[in-house]
Amino acid sequence: MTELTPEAAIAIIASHGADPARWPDEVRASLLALAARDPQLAAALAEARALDADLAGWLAAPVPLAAVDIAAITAQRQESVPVARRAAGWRPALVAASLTMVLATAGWLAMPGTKSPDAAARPPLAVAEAGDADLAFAYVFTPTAAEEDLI
Amino acid sequence: MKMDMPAPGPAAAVSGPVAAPVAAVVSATALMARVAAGDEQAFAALVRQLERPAQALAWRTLMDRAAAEDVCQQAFLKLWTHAARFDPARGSAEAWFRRILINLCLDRRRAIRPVQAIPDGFDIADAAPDPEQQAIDADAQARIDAAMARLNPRQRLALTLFHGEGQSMADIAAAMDTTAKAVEGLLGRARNELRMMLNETKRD
Repeated sequence: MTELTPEAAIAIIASHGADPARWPDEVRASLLALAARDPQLAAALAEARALDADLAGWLAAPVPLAAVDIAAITAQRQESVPVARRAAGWRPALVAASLTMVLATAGWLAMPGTKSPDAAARPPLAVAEAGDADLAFAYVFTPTAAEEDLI
Repeated sequence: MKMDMPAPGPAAAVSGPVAAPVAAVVSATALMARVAAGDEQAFAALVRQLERPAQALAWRTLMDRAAAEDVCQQAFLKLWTHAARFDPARGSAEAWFRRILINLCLDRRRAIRPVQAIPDGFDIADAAPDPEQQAIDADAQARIDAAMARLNPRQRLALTLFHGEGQSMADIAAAMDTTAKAVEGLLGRARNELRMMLNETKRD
């Protein structure tokens, strides 16, 4: 049985009301025991009981609203399958396709003797610089043997 | 969307699931699958199941007849137009609908003026027996109505869900997008304000 201070008991009654069935299970027994011997707590409980009765009266009052217009609603077009869910099925395929493209490009660039199409039109120094750049690109993007195994 | 579909009735064999009759025992979650397929009968059955509690919640939260009617209409419209978004794996149709309704109520709260509407027939003399007791009851009802109207809609919503629907703090917290501790605080303050207002009017 969880021990309660009178202040904690009053806080529970203040938020939950006077019905022990609505109190947290772990404090119910100790709260009832405390209320039996503490007149201040018993008074708080009596006041909460009166408020519960007022609330019950308010909650029982009839609701004066008109019925929902079903025909006006079903005349509206329904949304089809949500966009997010439809797109979700394509996501893995898109990721796989992107990865394949990157690897194919990297592999082509890493092939010996591969030069960019406009290499012949450039002066020799520019071709050498472009070749170095291609090698650096291939070095970064070419998978290692261990990565190949994973792929 | 994977849902537990109800067993098709006799009409289903003739004209397909869209025209299947709707039994009273079919759960709201099962009806949602048919609603998502455009079944108007299933939607009407779903409205019948959810309408009264929805109206009570909207009316008690907003305490404004026009606003509460509008919010209910909007909530059911969303239920119809967005039916395909409902995912039974994430909870029941009732909980999904209640969340829509509560969000609409709380979105609407700033537009509501904090005055209490006087019910129709408030000042008409009643010929029923025991007029004295009726007058006492009417006075008590008017006092609690006036006090409730002075609370804010979040407080009224929490009181309605806890005392009216018997929901737990955790369920209310989920519906109101907050924590159980915050709901406890909200209820405690609401009850305290209500108690003070009622005591004031009793002294008057």
